[in-house]
Amino acid sequence: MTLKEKFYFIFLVIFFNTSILAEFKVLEPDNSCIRVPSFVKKFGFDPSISSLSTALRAKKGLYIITNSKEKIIKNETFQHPSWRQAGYLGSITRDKHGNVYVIPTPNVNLLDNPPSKANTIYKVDSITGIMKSWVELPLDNYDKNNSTFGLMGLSYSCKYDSIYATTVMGSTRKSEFGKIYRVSRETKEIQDSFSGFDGFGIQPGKFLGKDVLLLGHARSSNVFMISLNSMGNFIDRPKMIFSLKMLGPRGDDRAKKIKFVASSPFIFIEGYEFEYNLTAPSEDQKTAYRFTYLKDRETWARLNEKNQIIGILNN
Amino acid sequence: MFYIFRLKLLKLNDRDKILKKLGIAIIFFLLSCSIVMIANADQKNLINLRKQEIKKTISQLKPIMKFDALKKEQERAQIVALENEKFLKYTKTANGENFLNQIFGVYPIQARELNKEKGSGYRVEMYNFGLNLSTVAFIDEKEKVEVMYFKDTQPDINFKLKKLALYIATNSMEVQKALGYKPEEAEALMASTKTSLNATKCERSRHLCVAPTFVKEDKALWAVVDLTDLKLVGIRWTNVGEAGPPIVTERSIQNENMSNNFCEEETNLAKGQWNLNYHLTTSDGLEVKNVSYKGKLVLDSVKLVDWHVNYSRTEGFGYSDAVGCPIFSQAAVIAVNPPIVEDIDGGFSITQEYFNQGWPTPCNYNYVQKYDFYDDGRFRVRTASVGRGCGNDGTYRPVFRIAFSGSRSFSKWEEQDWQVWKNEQWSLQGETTRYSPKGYLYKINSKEEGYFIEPSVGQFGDGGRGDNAYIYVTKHKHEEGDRNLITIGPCCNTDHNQGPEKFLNGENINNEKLVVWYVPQMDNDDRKGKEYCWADSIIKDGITVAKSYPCYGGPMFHPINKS
Repeated sequence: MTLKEKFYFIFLVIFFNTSILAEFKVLEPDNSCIRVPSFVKKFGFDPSISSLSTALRAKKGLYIITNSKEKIIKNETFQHPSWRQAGYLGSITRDKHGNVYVIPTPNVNLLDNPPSKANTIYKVDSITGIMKSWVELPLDNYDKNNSTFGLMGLSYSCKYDSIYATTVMGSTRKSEFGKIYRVSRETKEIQDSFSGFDGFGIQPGKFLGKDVLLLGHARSSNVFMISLNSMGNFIDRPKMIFSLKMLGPRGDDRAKKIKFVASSPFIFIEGYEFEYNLTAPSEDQKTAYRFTYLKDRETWARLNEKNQIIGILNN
Repeated sequence: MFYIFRLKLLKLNDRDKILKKLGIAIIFFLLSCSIVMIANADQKNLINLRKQEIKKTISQLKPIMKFDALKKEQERAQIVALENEKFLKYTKTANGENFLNQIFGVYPIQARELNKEKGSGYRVEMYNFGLNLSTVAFIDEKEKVEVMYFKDTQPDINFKLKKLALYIATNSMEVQKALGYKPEEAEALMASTKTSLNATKCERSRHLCVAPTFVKEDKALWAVVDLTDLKLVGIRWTNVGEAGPPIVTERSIQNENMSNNFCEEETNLAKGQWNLNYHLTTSDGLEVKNVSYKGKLVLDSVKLVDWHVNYSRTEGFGYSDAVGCPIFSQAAVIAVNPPIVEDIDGGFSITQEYFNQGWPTPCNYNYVQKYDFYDDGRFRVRTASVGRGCGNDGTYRPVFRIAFSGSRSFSKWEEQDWQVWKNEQWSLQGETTRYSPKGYLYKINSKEEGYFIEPSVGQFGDGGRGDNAYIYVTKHKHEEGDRNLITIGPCCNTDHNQGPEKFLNGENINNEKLVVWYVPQMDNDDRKGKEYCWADSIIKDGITVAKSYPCYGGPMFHPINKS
């Protein structure tokens, strides 16, 4: 961001009253049913100050970590022996029973993350805490010598009791072969999918009263929305709603984590640098953003940490 | 005419003298003209002028290029800022070395920016080229100063820098070639702003960059100019008026260039007696293929499959890196600039560099891969780590795959003679290893020709201290690496288990098509004066640059003269 842009944002903050935001409840999350896994207590952790993490640097698999106000308390991490089997992991989601779902995400190399397993969703049972392969999504366009990435995003919908997932398996520089899936939690069957879209982050929710999925895009900084029908299936192709282009220190972040925040009028997005290659151990380039929808203007706006508008976005 | 007429009237002797004097006068006149022309040309060369200004600035006690031609009040605001300690906080390194700093602008501001109800003042914006950092002073009417720092942020450039950017762009052969003519500076759009159409970034170098843009028919040519290094980063055409213009930045230009020209295309190179193809792979570095010497095929393929780095103080800590294409690849350490072909003493060399964006800061890596081909038929396959890695106790182990053409046999020098290897196996070059009288350790030959293999023991004059290499010889199999090989081995094995051992199964290798796997081992060192596989950040001309200490490893192949 240039200095000029920074000063422009300061100007916007002054001229937009934050009370405007309180009027809008256009965004509603679809995660009110999710439960804390029973195994957290079973393994001796206090759920109120513990969380699940796949992002401990240079550590493979899933962990329970204990958070203090400042940082992770030393040595207060736990890993069940089965939680390393899928290599390095990425997105985590939970269902209404407290079961945990995770996807593999390579880190530096593919030694622990064979691309042949890159489209496998793993489940950690809420009661036993044991991780097992849950669903192996099809390896469409898989190339043994050139495929690197598969699943990129994962999210649970309470309303449709389904796992939504994005994958870029088989995509090349010139061909976008990615897919979006809806998988029934109960039957493990694929209920719906559409192809030709390299999704990144994914999150179901309500937008202006309608069920939608918000999607990041692995190939661009654009954020998309797709409407869902009464079954939770996809109605049409994703439509771009705004972009992270030229925002943040890199200017070309991809929307990875997308979160609706309960009783808040904004969505939270974590933007990552992503070029379909592996990253160096020190290259963890991410930036947190907040956005809201201005109903009367029919446009999206960027917020700062105090939920003040600092930029209007044009799609 | 007048002089000629008068000359005719003069006596012959006098005429000769006058002609001589006139000749001398003309020579003096021409000389003085050329001196003036050279001086003018130098004044017009904005890059040279900028370099002179930089030299002058960084030799000052306060290494700050001031903003000139200011109004009286602005000038006063600049002076106040330059006397403020907080404003000067980042103008030098912790060791007192001077960064290059420049005041980009002094702007009038209202009370709101000063967090006051009324009044006015000035905002002074300074950019640090070494840290890519902006320092801003807010000065009120009573000359009270508030200072803010903005990391990785650049102020809008001033008119002088705009002129410089346009000068670099319009004088670039790349721009002229793309447009088909030399553009006028006035043709460029919005070089001074970094908004809307020509917003750009130099994400990898973290330098100050702007993008003058030239419109030709229905297309726009973006010229990304680096005002820190005073050079053109690259160009790219976009469609004028296309919805949501793409972001043309240093990284996007580099990625596109590498992908289009070196990842998706092979380049043929015919030089001297050598003929070969090369291209960049997605995880096996730069591969040379179909290498022939004097019309005879020698090598099917050579590539750099993996880099294994392990740190001795922490067991099992390290990384297994792949090198290759910058996008859609399995590489963690990527090629961002094209391979360089250059003449060396007695031959030529192909060099490809790979790096992590944060290099040379800790936990970022940089590797160099080189192929040297000599007129006498020798060739050398080598690579180096250029640090800096995640510690000073690292051992680097690159894995080469060298696939020879034709049926061959492999031998090792043992005591007094060559011993043929009948089956697939490996060997380690150690301190007690004996070499042939000419320093060779292995031999790979066919009926017609062959090569002696000379590992490095520090004799090649490139700073390499010896290979201490593992060598593996396997019977060629398509599925064992003809196509791209994703990570072949883990980071941290300290024995022969570096990956190629998985292809050893005791098969006969006598008179077969063979693959030689070569894994040198280099220990890094950060001790002053003994640096090896290492890099440091230093300040040069006010800018942060890397000082590197590569550790080269790799063998020389000498043709066997069968005649």
